[in-house]
Amino acid sequence: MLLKYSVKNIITKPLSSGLSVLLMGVSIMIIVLAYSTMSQLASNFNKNANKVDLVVGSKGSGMQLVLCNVFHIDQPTGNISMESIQFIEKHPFVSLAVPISLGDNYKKFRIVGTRPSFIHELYKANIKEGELFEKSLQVVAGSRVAQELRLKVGSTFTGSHGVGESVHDHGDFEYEIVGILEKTGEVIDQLLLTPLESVWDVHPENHQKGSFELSKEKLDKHDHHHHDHHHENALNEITSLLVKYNSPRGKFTLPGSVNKKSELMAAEPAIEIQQLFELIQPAVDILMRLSWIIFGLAMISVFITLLNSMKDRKYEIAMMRAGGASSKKIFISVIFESIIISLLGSILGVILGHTLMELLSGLVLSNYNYDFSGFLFYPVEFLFILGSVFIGMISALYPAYSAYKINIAQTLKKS
Amino acid sequence: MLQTNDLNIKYDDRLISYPNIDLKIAEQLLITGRSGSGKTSLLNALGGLQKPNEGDVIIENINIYGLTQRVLDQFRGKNIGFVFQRPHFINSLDVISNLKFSQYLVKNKDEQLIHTLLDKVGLIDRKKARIHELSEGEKQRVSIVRSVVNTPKLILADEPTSALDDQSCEIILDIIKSFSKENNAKLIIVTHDQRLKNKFDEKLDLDALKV
Repeated sequence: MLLKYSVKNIITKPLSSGLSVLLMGVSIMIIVLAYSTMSQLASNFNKNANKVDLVVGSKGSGMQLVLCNVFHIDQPTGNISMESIQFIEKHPFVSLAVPISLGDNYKKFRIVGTRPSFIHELYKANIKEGELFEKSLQVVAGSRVAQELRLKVGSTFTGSHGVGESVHDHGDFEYEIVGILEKTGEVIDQLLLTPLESVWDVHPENHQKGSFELSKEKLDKHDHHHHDHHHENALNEITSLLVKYNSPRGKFTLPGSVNKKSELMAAEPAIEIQQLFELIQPAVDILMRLSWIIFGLAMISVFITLLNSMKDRKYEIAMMRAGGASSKKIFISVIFESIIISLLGSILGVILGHTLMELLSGLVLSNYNYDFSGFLFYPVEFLFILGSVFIGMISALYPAYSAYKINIAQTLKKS
Repeated sequence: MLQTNDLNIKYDDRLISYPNIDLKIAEQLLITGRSGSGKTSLLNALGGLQKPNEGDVIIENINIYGLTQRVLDQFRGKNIGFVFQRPHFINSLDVISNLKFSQYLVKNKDEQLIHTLLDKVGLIDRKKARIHELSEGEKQRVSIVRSVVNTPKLILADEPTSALDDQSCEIILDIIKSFSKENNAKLIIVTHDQRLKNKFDEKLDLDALKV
């Protein structure tokens, strides 16, 4: 009955109660959204970052090297020769070294020249249909690419130059899908994988090049051995080498010896991602502060709504007291009201946050190549709700107290 | 029974001394006086709403100001029904919920009684009405029903008819008097409404008192 009374009081004032609920909802929504994005980003990034201990590429930005070659979201850096990395593949602390060569895309999905170990050992992905590539221009498609572009075993396509927008088509070279991978939830789902030779064959004008930077000097140098098919040799170029250690000691020796080489640079995904998050953190902090301000407004709104309501209701409260309601009961009924408003607001916020997250996940997918979900709930959200209810209760303390201490006789006399 | 002993109540910096009252079951008393004579203060003291500066109020052999506030609240809810000049209700609840709420406060669940009483005052059809939809006369009838939903031993009415026209005044007075008789409840009405003067046998005129 007391609860019914509180609920009715809220319903009777839909505008002011609605405002409180809405403000609280929006603030919790922002918190949920920021929290959810950050944790999914972190878990996705870390999952993938841990797959690769070290990325070796050309000199430049370490973060770009990692973003491009591990997460496939940034532009490729320069190229490196197969020769220059041979010492890494033979290094005693290296258990796995996978070269990749970037440069082309098919409808914005990257075509990655690599070796079978990229699929089997690095991502441990299984072939769902068809088989692994063996020859140049054969392609194994990640599950999302296959699904999005409706690719089947036997489908053919021509790639376009560049990793994002199409610059020009390589019309003469037709890729053929020979296999499709099972869904892994990782970045490999978004990739078209082909032997390194494909990339060299598609770019005959500079067959050593995986991607860009056509230098006249190198063109001239390799003009004389132009074959129909190019097999891996020391002079061919790749974009980067993905390295896994077999010993923690690798971490202390390998990056140093790589960075000593004039044309090479080593970047550790774990460290770069850490730095990336440190870069993003201030933006998230601002968002969080904003949501706290809105949350504060919501609490002020609860406070003012209840305080006004107490003024409007002082006669009925005095009447309830005369009819036998203890001051404690009146106090509790006001607290109930704030609890209900906070509960509605915070639940609304969680629902809004997840709905928006789900709506935005498409955007996130195209920006970061990761599957985000609006339906991943975190235990901490329960704490958000609990915390809101608690703070809502605190903002109701004074209004509740003002109702608690109403002097029955004085109040009724004034009426 | 209801007894007062040497009640003294401070009112506008004056200390008003009241004569002792002694009321048996189902007795009805009219207390009159012009405004400022301390009628309402007396009623508040009798109803346990405001502790008098001196003296005791004894209802059913209990000195009510000797009780703790919580026990007094419950005692009031169970034993005393109030009717005020301007009836106030819980505006967010409809008529019947208001009456049920009064019963809920003392853990009474006699919904049948509510229906019977509403029927008697001719408002059974209005039980789902919101308070603001009622006329002043209807509100006062509901407030009288409310004062007896917990079958109190004492009904205290403060100017119950002053805001009403002659016809409503008549109806309200009849209802209050009959409810008090049917429930064996003592009734005390304080008023300056001259229309009630000849309707009661027991009368107390505060204007005749010396301050």
